[in-house]
Amino acid sequence: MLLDRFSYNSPLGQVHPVEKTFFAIVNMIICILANSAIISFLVLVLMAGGTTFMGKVPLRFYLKLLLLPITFLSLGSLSIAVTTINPTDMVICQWSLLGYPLGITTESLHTSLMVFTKSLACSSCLFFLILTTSMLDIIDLLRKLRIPELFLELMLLIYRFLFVLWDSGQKTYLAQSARLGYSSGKKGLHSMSMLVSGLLLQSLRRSRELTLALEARGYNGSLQVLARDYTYSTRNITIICFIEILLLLVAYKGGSII
Amino acid sequence: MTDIILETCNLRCQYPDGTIALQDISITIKKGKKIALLGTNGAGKSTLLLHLIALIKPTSGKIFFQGKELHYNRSSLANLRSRVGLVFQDPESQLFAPSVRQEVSFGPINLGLAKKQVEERVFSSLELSGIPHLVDKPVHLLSYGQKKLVSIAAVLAMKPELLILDEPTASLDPHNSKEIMQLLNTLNQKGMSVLLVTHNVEEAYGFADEIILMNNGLITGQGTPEIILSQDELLADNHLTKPIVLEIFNSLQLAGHLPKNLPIPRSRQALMDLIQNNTPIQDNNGR
Repeated sequence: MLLDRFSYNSPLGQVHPVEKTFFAIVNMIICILANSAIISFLVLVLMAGGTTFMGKVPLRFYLKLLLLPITFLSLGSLSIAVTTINPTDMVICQWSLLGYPLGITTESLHTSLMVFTKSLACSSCLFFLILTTSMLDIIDLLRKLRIPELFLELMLLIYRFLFVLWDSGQKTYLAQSARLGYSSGKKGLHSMSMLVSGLLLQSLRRSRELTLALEARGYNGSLQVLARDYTYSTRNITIICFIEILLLLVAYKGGSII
Repeated sequence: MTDIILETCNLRCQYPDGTIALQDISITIKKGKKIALLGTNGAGKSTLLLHLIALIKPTSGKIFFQGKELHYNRSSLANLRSRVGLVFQDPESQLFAPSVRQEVSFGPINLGLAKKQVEERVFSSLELSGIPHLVDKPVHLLSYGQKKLVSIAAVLAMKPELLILDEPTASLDPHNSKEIMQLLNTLNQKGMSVLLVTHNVEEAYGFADEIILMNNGLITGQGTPEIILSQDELLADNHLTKPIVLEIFNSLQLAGHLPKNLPIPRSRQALMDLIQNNTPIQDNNGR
């Protein structure tokens, strides 16, 4: 819910969503294809810089956010680094577990580092996108990509009512705690079950009310709304293209592109 | 008959569980008026509103719109709803779109307007409601008062002839309430008829040209605020109290502090002015 706020207050919120999405996705693709730790590192720095410096997301918060994929990726990479050992491998360290020879080889270490940096860089690309581009813009963007209208309407409603539901859930939770509803494990379980069933009933009521409210304004089966207009900026596009070419060049010089 | 927008004739509504929400409702809503529908909680006000915009079909009785009986077919419903706008009490259940621009554009798009006109409508109705700066804000980050204004703007964007508001100032602070009441007055001056539904006697008294009293699914009184709201017995029957301005004015007259032939004040300020202009100035010099 907090991430959502950043996207609305972001100075990059005024930038055309297509430009931002293009930037993030192309960087991701280069990262995946280049298969090089240097490129991944460059993309990570670029995206982190873009998000914190230009998007004005506090650095501390950003690092904390990055810690999430880092934890996940560390565990994942570790399991790639540790493999069963063949006699021909270049072994860095090894031990045996229940008679199986386990260890880290130069090759497995290399692969795991590559996976780690690549995934982290890709996460930073996605963080850039969600911290600077609101869900609204993303839905508008999907509409431009000719995603079926039904999905977009669903996304719109889900996105809006997620907050409504979250809000009323929170209020109910507070009201329950104020009357000691969560003072013990058993009571807590009971209160939570009441909260969930209450929310279900509320949602049903809300959907009925919403139908009435929509019909009152001439709802005829499709939820058409006005999208926000953005203008492309030649400056931004030039800068983005320049960065991408530079990245490709580095990748090419490094000889790492497939 | 052209000055009547909506008319109901012996409306009766019984819910499937047997509750009779409306017993027998016959009212007329005239063009250009400010009408307040007054009643306590559970008097049937909200149910009546849903009938007025044909979201519920009455169990029996008829509705006349622009002099013609309303048939509940697609085209006549569309016609009714494009001319009569309803602002629901809870903005949270009315606002479906994540952004203010989307929300306000929904109505005008349904009217079949072109994109450019829709944009104009969105802008002008937000301007009218005093919130043009919120156009690109997400609805879920707005305050309750702002959400309320957005829900009004969303209906205004359809430029209805008759605007119906269900308890627009309920759970708003005095400042926000005052702004909404001022907005309603402005709209009325521009020719829009306004039907305000409320249980707040003070608000109804200060605002309306005409009061409709409702209790237990029945119309219990209809007339000018001065006449309806000065009848103690009628108010007591409807579980309402006299507006404070009227109460003070009446007791000052009874006690002889104010002359009998004064115009009845409609606002606190008007009462204050009357008191100031009519209090005999004490001459202490004893000449």
